[in-house]
Amino acid sequence: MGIRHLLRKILLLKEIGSFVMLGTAILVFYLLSPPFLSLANIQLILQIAPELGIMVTGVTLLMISGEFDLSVGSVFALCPIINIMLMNLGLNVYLSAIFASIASCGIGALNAVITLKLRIPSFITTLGTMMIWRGVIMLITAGWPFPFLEEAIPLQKLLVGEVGLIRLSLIWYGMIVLVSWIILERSRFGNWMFAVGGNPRAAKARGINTDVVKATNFVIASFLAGLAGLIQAYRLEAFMPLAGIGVELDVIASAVIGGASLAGGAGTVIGSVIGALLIRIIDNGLVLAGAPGYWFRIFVGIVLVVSLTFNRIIETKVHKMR
Amino acid sequence: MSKLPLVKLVNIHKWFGRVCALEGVDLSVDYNEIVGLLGDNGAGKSTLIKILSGVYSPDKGEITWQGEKINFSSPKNSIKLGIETIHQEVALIDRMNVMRNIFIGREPVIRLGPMGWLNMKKMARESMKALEKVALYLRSPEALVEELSGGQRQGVAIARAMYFKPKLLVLDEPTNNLSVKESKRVLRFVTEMKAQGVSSIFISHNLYNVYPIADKIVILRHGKKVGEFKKEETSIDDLTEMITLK
Amino acid sequence: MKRLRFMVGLMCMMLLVGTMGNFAEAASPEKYNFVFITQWGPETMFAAVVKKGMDDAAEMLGVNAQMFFIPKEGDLAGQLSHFETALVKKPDGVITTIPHPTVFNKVIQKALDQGIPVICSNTNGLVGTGHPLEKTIPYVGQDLFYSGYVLATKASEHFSEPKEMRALVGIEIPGASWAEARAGGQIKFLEEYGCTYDKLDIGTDMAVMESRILAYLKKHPETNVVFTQGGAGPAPSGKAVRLAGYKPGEVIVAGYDIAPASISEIKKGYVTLTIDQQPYLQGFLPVIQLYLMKKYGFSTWDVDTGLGIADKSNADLVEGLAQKRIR
Repeated sequence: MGIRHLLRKILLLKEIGSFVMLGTAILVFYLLSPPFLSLANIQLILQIAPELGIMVTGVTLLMISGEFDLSVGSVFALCPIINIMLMNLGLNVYLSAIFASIASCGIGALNAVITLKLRIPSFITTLGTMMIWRGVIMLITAGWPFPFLEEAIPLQKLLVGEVGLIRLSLIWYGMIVLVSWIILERSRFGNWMFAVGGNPRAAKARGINTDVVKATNFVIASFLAGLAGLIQAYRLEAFMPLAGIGVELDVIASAVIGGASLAGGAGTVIGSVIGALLIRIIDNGLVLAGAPGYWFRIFVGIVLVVSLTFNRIIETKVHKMR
Repeated sequence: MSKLPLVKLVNIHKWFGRVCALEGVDLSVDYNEIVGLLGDNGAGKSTLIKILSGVYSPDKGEITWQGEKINFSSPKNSIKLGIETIHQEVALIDRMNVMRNIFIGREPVIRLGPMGWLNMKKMARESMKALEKVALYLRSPEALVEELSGGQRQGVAIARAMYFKPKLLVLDEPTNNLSVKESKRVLRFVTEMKAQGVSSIFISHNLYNVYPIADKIVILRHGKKVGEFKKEETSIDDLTEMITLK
Repeated sequence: MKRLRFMVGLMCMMLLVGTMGNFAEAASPEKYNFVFITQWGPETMFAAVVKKGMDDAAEMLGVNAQMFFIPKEGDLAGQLSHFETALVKKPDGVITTIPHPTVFNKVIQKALDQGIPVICSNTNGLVGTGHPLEKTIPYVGQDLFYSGYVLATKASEHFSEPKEMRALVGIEIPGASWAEARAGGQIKFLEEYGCTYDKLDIGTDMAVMESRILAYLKKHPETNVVFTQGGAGPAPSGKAVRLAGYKPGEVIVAGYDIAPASISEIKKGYVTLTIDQQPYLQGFLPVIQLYLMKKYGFSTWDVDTGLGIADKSNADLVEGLAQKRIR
């Protein structure tokens, strides 16, 4: 296999645009501040990446099926709070986490029902549920966080325990990425997801139950958001009512940067990873570069536009290559 | 040859709100028959076709398939019975590749655990075979549908329909976006299918496409059937008059 | 291949743009590098005043001071992440707000272990937790409880005669520790004085505050003094007093901070006084402290910045300085 052939194969990767942007960003931030690539910093990034990344993967899958979920930030905060509330009522930590996750799934199911049965665009539905659940959180906690309990430590070790240089959350993230990839790219259900998102009429005409496919993805997105929330809460040892506030913008930006189409039917799991990494790297890199706080939003905006343009350009070039 | 028709629709009514799309329409298709369904815009042709494909359910009326009364409650049902539809808006998913499109909804799977895993090798192999059957030669079954020309796309849709050996092929304006050469190929194909025992219902605006290959011609106007002729009984001019009258 | 060349070209362009935007000044060995980790979003007006204080001190002393905002206000995980990241570059000193009793403890300890001094500004969530860091980390900000007490004391200077006094202590978020602490100070004074008082949930929306205070005044027309705890409180209180038909000064209105609306009510006479936590000092003083600590090894000290009184006598001065983001 000649170098030319290998190069050609790499360029034809769906995620090539995102990879290039990631590479460029890493290079730029390294040049601006060499400690960016220090072991300590890489460790830092890998510690916090799963919390965003797991959510982005879930939302990417949902976007591939043609729907949105803006309520992930609220689920991110609510799941751990339900967890700690159940523990305060005496329930064992693992069971509390399981029930809290079931609750996350329930929220996803509710999103699905409202969107699919009431025919309200998911953007609107989840905008509404985002606010409702955040309000519920404020009511439950009256603005104040629950203290971390000793009984929660076993789960903490499981979710974010340190293993050598990394935390277990990175490994869980890797597994979720792997499973998601396999299901999306190699299973029948994955094929349906692309169809339902790409051309729902056609999918229906071929006998696919589009509602079931979408509903499943709503539940997955919420479940993963809740899981990500648990991971952060256990890493910080704090169950904060304002956790995840505003994160939905980062999540969608990451998904889009990773190549997910806003119209549905396109996206990759690896892309979701790259997108999440890129968003986290930008924040980290800007701090190290000494940029005034105002720069974060500008930078993300630029990267978003560039990535969209880039992906478009690449698609056209690939077209011609085939 | 059985005396019973392949499919028979009797007294079909369909309303959308207060609009009556179909009013008391009867239609039957025999084995090895090509039926041309004609009519101006709004005549109800597409609606009738969609009832056969299982997308709509009739509000009133009866459908018989191979002698038995049946309910096409969903597209899945319809496909299972052996009805394949080529839609006006090509029912392919652009951003997916050809082989995934061909097998959408009927993917060959390897069962391992709770999920069905795509048998990619089989999909690749079989899709190339299906394409060859309709004389469509592509470089690879992994080409994305959005990269194909209009005629190639229609070819893929037809290959998909044919792969599953239907008994009835329903074509809704299949030559709309095609070149003359591509249209001719589709028509030739429909005729070949008849020889292989597949009946077709063919909707088209273009009388000159339908007339040469149809055995029977049915004309709809404003949701009602206004004429049914065997090809020998009529001519293109007569038909044109019938369609455009009033 | 054409495409490869295109992509390399695009990459180079991005690199160029990136390096052109080189923000950090070359960290010269003589210049100290301080960082200020905050919980505020970049558009917060309050933060702008703190930043001005920080910038002025930095310029005066010839040091680098960088303030970090988080794009999503209230996202403590983001603030923590900034703190951790800032440590990677080994700054000479860290100033930080501590909006949570436990979340920041580990990273603060990490900084201290690395020999990097840490000063807490504006919000000190460690107060009352009994954590060892509470004693170790100096705090530059408002002592909430004491400020309430001082506010009430100053307000009492306007009490016309010692008679049956009634006070309304308005709380924007019942249970919020900052509000309860400030109110607690006021209540301590009121109890010492022998004044009847009522605690009332007045909400955080200005229109809601106005209507609730008005309702209370209608129910208790003999009320002499109204307290509120948050920066948005004074203006609606003044309006409510006006709507209830009182003349300026008949009811004493006391509250916090110097929002322009509050100053305007002070000038009209419906708000008697406010106490201001002087955010400029919360940015200015920590930088001075860090500098002295690093250069001469001075020990640390706490500063209660929260005793700036604004009333009719200095309203104009305060207003002018507020426009310059100094107050």
